Amino acid sequence: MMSVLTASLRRPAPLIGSLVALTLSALIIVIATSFIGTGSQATGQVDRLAGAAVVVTGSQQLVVGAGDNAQSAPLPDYRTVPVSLAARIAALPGVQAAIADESFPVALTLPGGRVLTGTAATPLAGHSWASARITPFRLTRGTGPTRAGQVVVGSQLARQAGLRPGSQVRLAGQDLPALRVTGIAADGRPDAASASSVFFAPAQAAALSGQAGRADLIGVIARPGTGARALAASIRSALGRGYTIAAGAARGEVENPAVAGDDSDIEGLGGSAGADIIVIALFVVAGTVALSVSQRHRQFALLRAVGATGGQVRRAVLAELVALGVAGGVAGWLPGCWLAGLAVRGMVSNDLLPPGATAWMSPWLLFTAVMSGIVIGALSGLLAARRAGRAAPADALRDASAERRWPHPVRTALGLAGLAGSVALVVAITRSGAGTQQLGTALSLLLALLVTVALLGPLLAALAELALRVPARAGGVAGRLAMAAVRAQPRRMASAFLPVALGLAFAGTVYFLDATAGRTAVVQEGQRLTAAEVVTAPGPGLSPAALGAIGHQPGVRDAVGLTPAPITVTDQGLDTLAGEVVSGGSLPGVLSLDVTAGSLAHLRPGQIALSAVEASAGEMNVHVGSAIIAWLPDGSPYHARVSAIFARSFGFADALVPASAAAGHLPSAAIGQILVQTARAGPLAPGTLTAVQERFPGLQAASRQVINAQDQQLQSQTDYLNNMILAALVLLAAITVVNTLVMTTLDRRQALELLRRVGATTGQLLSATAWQAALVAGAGIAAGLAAGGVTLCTMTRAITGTWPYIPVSAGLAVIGCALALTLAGTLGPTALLLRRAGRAPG
Amino acid sequence: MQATTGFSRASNQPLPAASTGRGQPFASADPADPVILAGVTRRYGGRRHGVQALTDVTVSFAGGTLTAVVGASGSGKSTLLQCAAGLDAPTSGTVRIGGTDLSGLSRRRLSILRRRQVGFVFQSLNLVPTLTAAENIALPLRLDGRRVRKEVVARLAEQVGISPQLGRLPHTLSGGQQQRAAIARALITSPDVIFADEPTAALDLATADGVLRLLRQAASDPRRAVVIVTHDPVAASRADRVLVLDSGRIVSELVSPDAATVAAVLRLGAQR
Repeated sequence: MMSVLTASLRRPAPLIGSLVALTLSALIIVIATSFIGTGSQATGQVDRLAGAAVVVTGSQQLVVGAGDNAQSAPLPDYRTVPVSLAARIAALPGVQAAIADESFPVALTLPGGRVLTGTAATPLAGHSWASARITPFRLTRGTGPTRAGQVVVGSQLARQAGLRPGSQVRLAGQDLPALRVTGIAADGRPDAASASSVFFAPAQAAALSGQAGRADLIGVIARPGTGARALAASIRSALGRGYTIAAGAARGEVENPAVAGDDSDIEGLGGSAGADIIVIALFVVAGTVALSVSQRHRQFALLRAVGATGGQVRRAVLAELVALGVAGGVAGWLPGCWLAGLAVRGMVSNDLLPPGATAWMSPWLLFTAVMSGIVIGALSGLLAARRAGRAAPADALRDASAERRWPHPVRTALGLAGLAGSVALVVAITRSGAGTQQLGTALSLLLALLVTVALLGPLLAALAELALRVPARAGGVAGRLAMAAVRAQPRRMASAFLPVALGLAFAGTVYFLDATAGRTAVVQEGQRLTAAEVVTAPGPGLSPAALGAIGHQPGVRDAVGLTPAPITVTDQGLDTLAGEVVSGGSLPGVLSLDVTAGSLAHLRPGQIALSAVEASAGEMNVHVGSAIIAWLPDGSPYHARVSAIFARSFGFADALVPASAAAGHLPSAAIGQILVQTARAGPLAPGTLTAVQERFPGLQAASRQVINAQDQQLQSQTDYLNNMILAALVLLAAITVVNTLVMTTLDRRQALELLRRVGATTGQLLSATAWQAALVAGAGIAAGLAAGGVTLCTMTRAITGTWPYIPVSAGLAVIGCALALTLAGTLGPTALLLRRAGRAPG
Repeated sequence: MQATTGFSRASNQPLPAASTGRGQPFASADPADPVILAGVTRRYGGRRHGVQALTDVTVSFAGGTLTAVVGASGSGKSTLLQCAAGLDAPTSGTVRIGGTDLSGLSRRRLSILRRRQVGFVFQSLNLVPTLTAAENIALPLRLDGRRVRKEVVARLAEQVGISPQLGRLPHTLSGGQQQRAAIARALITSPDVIFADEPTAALDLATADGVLRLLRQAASDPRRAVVIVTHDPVAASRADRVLVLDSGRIVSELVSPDAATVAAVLRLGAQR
């Protein structure tokens, strides 16, 4: 059958649709794989710790329980080690030097008012000058800092900010005298380290870090001739358990613990969204392949009549699909690489990836593309190949474009099963409450619903025809023709409107889920914030001294400090929650958190407040008075009793701990934002904070409407990611819709030709096509709205407890796009066919 | 073309009494006949609303003969062809091709039997559009996994008269050339029987004549039966034997009739 297979290339028209679909899916898989590679590449990058052959830090995994019940999660911050550990390691053979390193976030204000904070992926960090050897940084200009008030900055930072020896800078948010730049240091590599490093004299560094006697990590410099792995092994045997000892590429994870544990990073994106998209691709390709096979039904019947066995025909179809898969893989490889590069560049400029990160390019991507093309082509073609093999030879005798009797019992049964499964999923999600894998769960539910729609397609097409039958009569003979065609071939109609439903449901769900989340956050924020002013400073925030300073200003009744910190608890598993550390006064005075149990008036050491969602039965299942263990970012346990449960937590935090309990366990002593309540209702009198602003450079006060700068950064990050996914989905949907519709329309070439010869005018034929397009669009939009709507409502009620937020303009735009695409995909090729037929003789 | 048991060439002779065909084939039922149908009934649809396309047809097609099956539309001649060729399974009754009973065969075995022992010429869309004429002709051998010798294909193409068109794709060939290619394909495995479904329906007189001559030639092999289904009296007149079908039964058998006789029979059938 090989010759039959290669011969198909002579009349490639029926194969083009499948090729387009396979190219598209290969393209997406290339992008997803590139993302995964980029992510692991980024974490594997060793910049700041490159000079240390081995790096020792406290165990970066939080392990709770023992044996089979042990659960572990990566720590969001360093688990510190005592500084004395450095001396212990330095005594080991093969060690030239062991240097303790402590880093703390800083922000610098320049004399002109400009503020330097670094990027979200690599924020500006301060270190002791003694730990410069770890990178290693070498002085290129000036001298090192010898006492407090002197700093050395990285060369890229100096270049960006125009700093040179003698420049004056101040630490934002800190009441400290100005710092003088005494030198510039470079590490000889174009990486992020020299753009984000500020070195202080050792004594000042220790004071600023707020954790005396403890270090984030120990960088071990090997004696020349000592291998890194051997050194790591000897250190491990000397220190025993309880430490993370990293050499080689593993140092990359130690360098950036937050990135290594972050779920919303690029690797996760490639993995989870990629898996869902692969399933969609399977669907799409299966649809086009089924169409392509059914269009050639008579050919397969002829082959069967001439004596080909069903197995031979099946194998030929599968072989054809494999060949198409290879072609699609090759075709999708380069565009996929290009798009991945584009996306990564966008993410770098939106601070989602460290600067200098590039998309992962490798010959493996071509291999992945081709393999995925083959697998997807073969898998999705299995059903179609089987149907081709079962082509009745007798069909070669007649023009068998009539479809088998429907409703097909197996298909309808499966469809109803799918419906039942979807309902069960909805109930399960509603009952289980908030999902952390929000997008993933939503897509799974959506997929289940769309599978149901796909299986029940002919039924829905018949229903749509029933609904449109009477109105179509108003369209005269054209309308009747269109409805008759649908009645006769409901399955073909179903395969036409499925991509419309698919695209609409997916794009709509992703977009409006994000819109709802954003809006709920904004709404709740508006309800939550009762403070008159929000005081912030760039970078890590304000020194605790600012709290007292502000509290003493005239007109200020209360000042409360909030610092975001990830808190780990045990709910369904080990879960790291968004938490806030509360310092200063009484929280209810500045935030209205809708406390449902207990009281937030005073948060004392040994107490913790939880969100209602987190405390609910599906998660932690606790109430006021329950004793729990929470873990602070550095892995220290915090034994606390639940003192309050609050409802208005969306976009804020799930856990509140008092500052006194968290002190010394956070990366910085700074306070993220200070909420100020005035004695009289209304904003602070202008000039109230001027003196404070001079003491603490970079301090900004904004009235209630302003959101914390860190939250804003986070929001724009999420926006970019979601917009990217949305754009990809919309493009995929659009191409799929047009592809399928073009195939379906061209398939009706013979029928159109016949009608034209019988005397139908071009206008009548176009209007009949328009009626069919309207039906396809209508059925597709209705199905897409139903599937997407159910998913959206279920997810939003589970996550935010509200109904979806769908701005009317956006909703209409989405529907309008679907309609436009459908009309383009059907009327376009029809008009083309008619024009060509009109020119041909006879 | 002697009239043996049949009718003179006069067209005003009455038709013979219709045979019920119950268990008694018209001609002598020689078990060596390539195709034997016994009591074949084909019913479509259920008991209440179904259509009985064939009722209790018993007939055999002898080697070395060209048989034409005629009848008005709806008489069941296409169904008869499908059942006889193994393209469709009868509701009851048996079909034997080359001595093999088709009813016991799996679909796969049926395909293999068709490929080796049956040649088929369709009314239209005879050829796989993506294969050249040569490849189409060689298709049954290819499907069987046998090696195809170029000379064999060339000889057949010469026989049917499409040698210059061997390397062309079907959509570049005329209707007659496509039919000739189909006949060559039907012949390549030296089958026991060749079935042709309305082979001359879409052709002009001269081309039809050529195709019929080829079919006649194919029937000259004593081991091979050629059966054509047609509504064209002229085509039927080229046959040794003409079976007249009406409402799913064989109502009469004409031996070497002329075209006028066949036409009269068909007209009478239409009037009834």
